[in-house]
Amino acid sequence: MTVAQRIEATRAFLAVTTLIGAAVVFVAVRGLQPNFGGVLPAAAALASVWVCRGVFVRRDVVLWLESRLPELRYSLVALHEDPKSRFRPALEARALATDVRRVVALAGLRLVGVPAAILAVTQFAVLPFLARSDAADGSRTVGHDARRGAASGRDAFSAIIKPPSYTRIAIDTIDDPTAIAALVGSEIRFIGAHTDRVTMPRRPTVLRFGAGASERLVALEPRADSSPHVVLSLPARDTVLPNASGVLTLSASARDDYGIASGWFEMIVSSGDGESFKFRDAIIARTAANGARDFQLSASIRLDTLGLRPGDIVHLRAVARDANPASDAESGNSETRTLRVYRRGESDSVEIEALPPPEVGKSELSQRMLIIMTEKLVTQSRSLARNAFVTESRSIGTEQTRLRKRVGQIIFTRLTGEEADEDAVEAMADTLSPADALLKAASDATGAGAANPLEPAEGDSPVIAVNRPLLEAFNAMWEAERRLGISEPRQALPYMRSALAAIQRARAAERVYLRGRPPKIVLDIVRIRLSGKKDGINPGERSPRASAVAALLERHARFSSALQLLANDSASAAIDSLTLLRVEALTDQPAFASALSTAVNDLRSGRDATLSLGAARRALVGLPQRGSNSRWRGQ
Amino acid sequence: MPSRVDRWRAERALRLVAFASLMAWIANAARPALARVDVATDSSLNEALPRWTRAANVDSVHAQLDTVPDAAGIAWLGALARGGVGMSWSGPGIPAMALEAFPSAEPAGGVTVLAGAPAASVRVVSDALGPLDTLVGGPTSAVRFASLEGGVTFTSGIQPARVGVAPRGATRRVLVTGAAGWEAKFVVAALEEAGWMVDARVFISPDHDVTQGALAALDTARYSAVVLLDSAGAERARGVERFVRDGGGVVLAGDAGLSPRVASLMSWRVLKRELAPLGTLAGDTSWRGLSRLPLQPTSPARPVVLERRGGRATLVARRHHGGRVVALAYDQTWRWRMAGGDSSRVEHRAWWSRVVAGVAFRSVASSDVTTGAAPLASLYAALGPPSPSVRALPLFLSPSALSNALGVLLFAALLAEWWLRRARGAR
Amino acid sequence: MWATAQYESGDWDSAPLVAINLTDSVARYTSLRVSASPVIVSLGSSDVLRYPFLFLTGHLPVRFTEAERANVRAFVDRGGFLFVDDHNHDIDGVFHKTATEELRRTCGAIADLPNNHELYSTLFRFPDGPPTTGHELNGWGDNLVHKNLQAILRNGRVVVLYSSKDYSSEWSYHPENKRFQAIDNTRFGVNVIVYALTR
Repeated sequence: MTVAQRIEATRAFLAVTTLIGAAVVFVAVRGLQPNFGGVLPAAAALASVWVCRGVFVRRDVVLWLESRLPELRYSLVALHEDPKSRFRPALEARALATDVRRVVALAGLRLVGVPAAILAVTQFAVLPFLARSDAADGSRTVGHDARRGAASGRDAFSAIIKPPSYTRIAIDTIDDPTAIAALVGSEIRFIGAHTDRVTMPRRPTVLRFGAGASERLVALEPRADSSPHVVLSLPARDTVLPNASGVLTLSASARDDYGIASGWFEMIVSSGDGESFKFRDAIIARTAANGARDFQLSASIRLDTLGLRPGDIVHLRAVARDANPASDAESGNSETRTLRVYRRGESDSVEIEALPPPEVGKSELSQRMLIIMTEKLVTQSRSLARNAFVTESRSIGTEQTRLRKRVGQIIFTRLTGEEADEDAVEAMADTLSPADALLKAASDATGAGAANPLEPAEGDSPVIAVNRPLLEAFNAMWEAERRLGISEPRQALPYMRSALAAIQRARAAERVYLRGRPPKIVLDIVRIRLSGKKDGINPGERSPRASAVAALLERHARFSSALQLLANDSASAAIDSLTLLRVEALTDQPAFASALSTAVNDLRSGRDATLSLGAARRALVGLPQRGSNSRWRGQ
Repeated sequence: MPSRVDRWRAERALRLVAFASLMAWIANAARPALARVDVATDSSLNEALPRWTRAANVDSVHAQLDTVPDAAGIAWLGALARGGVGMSWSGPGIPAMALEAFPSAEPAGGVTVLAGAPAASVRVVSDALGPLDTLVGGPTSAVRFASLEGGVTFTSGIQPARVGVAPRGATRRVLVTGAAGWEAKFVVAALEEAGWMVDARVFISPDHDVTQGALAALDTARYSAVVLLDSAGAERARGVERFVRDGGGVVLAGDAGLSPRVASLMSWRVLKRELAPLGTLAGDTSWRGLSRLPLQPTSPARPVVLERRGGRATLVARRHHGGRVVALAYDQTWRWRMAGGDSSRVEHRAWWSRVVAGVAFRSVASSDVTTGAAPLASLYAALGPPSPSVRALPLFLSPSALSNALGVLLFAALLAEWWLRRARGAR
Repeated sequence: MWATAQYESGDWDSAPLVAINLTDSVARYTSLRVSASPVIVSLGSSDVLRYPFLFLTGHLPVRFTEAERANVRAFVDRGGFLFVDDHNHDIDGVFHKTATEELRRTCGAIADLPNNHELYSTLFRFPDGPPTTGHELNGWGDNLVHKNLQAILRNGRVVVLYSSKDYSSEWSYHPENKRFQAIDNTRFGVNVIVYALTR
């Protein structure tokens, strides 16, 4: 490279950086004074170019280099002044030997950096400060972008919309806004003739700026963040497993409109049958999605580690949590798959006639409560006085006796179909074992021979079979009662627990049935019709339902009023009415709201709004109806 | 340059023209006076009416119309005719049409428009806000509009007809009775959702009812209509016949018509229940459910059959003294609401509301609003039948204009002949 | 007239005699038309819309499929009545947690039903609200006596009634055994059905 080429290259570089700097100055000043259009920014940019105009002049560049690099010893100046100097070779050698790159680079950086710094200061410090000042005293007009907005001058204002950060959506600006549609939670800042700062609410609303004739309405139309859509691809369908072993692969995908925070699999293991179930639940493979819109989730489970038994059911589903930090943001979940571990004989259950609900549960103190009281008495045995201990034990024994008698009555009634004679049961209980006495009393009442209910018999009727646990409970209660009577509550507890277990078995026995095929019972409707006791029947009065069209009528009346305003040449009032109506309709009548939006825009811009208002009316009240019964007007 | 012979021939021709013009002028002046008919068209009628009223030199006037003038124009024409002016009119292109609009008794409001015009014409119903609907099909249409701004305009071709809508009278309560069941539940729900104030009495056992509202005796001061959902409801209804005589309305649904208590209100029989074929959709409006009890009109007082399905009447109506009676064949409309299409709930509600509104008692509200219009008929009524078209003479053929024109022609011909003579040196 | 809802995820048939027993009670106390044998309808089928009253119970998790969810939503929107009973009687149990979550997602917010609600005076009077069950009094399940039922309302009407009281256990017995009871414990069930039919 020759010296001349080097000087030209330097000049070109500095010129370009100067122009870039001027452009940055233009942007910075425009941000400060948007209302003035491009005049002031252009002036500022030109001024910055003027200040640095030397970069376009070769001689100035040479002098500048000489001033910055003394080691050049005027070689560049000399060559520039007299290119045909006889000392040219020596001067060129000196000029070329000097490295100018660092100085030039620094100069270029300064030419761009200073305007960039100005831009940064205006964007992040001055503008927010001005906006705050506006909000504080409301007197300052920050301005409005006249390039796009219809409004101008003193009425101009803009809305700067900043969506929630988790959405990663850029800030947007709307000039002269009449409606703002944005995600719930977006920060909206108004600058210009009207200043305010609001957060997009959950329900549509209207902001009013100014007052009187200059009042402006801005509709805020919230857009909801929908919950993630989750699809569980593996396991693909519900399955019955022959045994609980092997590896189960789980796979799911999730998609969201803005972003997903995390995802996982939920598992519930149900064990048991009939009336007795136990559940375990677990979260599997919780994974962060970091705001991704599409998210894949996978995991595997070793089934033999779950300790599954035959008959157990595993419920699996995938869940994805929205990145929306709002506390009420819904998680999305997939459909649930169930894996059932096969149980031999599960389809061989015997259908058994069920019984009425045990009346035991209706007694004053349940067996469980008696157990709790007895356990408490046992723990307090050392601290209680002997008399108090005995009294309490006998008191519990008395309650146990009452409960036993109630169970006895139930069994008696079930066996005989008649009300129990309590005295007869008690009298015999003195000479026979309680259960035997009970059965004997039942036998006597029915005239049948004595039975031995405690010995399983092939030919037991279903009623006997179901009552067997209750008879066991009756016996255990009798034994517990005796122990409590002699102040041996600790010894009574095993019997009490046996009684409770027996009652639970009796309840479970009531509901043994063939899964999926309920007992086939056909009612004799004619026989049972109105055979119930009429006592207590006292129908209450019905309360009327609310009208479903009241809101529509009210809305329609307001729409008509707005049309009247239009007819009376009160266009601005009509526009305001329609705007308010539109905001209210956004939630429940989106089609009407959309049509109104078009009508309002037509009215604002001075176009003929007849068609759009007609469309809005159709959206509000529906299409004309041609019904067969509309023809007849009754004459 | 023309020769002398040519010039001489031209002079002769001009003299001939002058002579002919003179003869024609004399003939025009001497012709007998013709009958003078002043003809006006749609566009010139407003201008012609004052002229016809003032002018004494017109023997007769003729309005040649493409559309019917407004009411003032018709009245003016009628006055001229009655005032001795030889008045005639013609309007072969004016369509015969009629329009009526009356408010619905439904709480939600609405207006029913009955319109008739030649089927071949383009028929549009509109209001102050613009076109509402285009009518297609047969020459008559009944359309219900949920909302109207101002009056109704019905246009057939270029002929409009305009009417206002009278104010709606006060809506009173509706009484619904029947056995408790899904039909009772959903009919009451539909009417209440449609805005009707409902008193209800549903029977849950022979001794017990579930009621709503202060169940008063049937009276048009309290009730607009009574809906008898089934024979149980009809059996227990008291005073229905008197209620209808007084102007009340009754809806007989399902097998309600089987009750002797309502026999005097009917001019039809309730036939045996039909079940919908297997696979019938609940939203199928042929059934509005899955069963129906068709209705068989009986003579001599045949009812108005409003709806036929499968050749059977399913919706019939008649007047009974001052009131109205409607019978429905459908007894399971709840299935339509529950299992019909996406909008079945709204449709079920609107349908029941319209049925009840069709019979509801209407208090007479004084109103000076014109609710019916038949433009061509009103023209006939005012001016009598039309006469054949009369074509008016062009203006330039009138005697005075012709006389002037002939005079000018005579003068011009003589002047030209003189100039030609002077040009060839003659005198 | 009404049906038991069969859903995919759980033991929908855990109380097989409730349906016939309540039908029997309705016939005994009212002249409402009833079917002589109970009906079971799949919640995933559009047939649910043929039965405006559905009874749903079970012990296991309630997780609706998409079809079930859509049907339940349509059912409720159109005026159906869904009666859900927790057969576990346990508000910490999976049925309660999953069923209430599904119902909230599908039909809207679920809240306590006041004990003076019309439901408790539709036919028989229950001045103290929902009648207690043996399971409650025995301290089984969550060991609580639930003071209120819960409900989802539409237009002021109960469209989903949710019970933690285990009426499934209370009412699942052969109808003929009612004769052994001094007071028929299914009367509240009749109230619920009459409410659904008349409100």
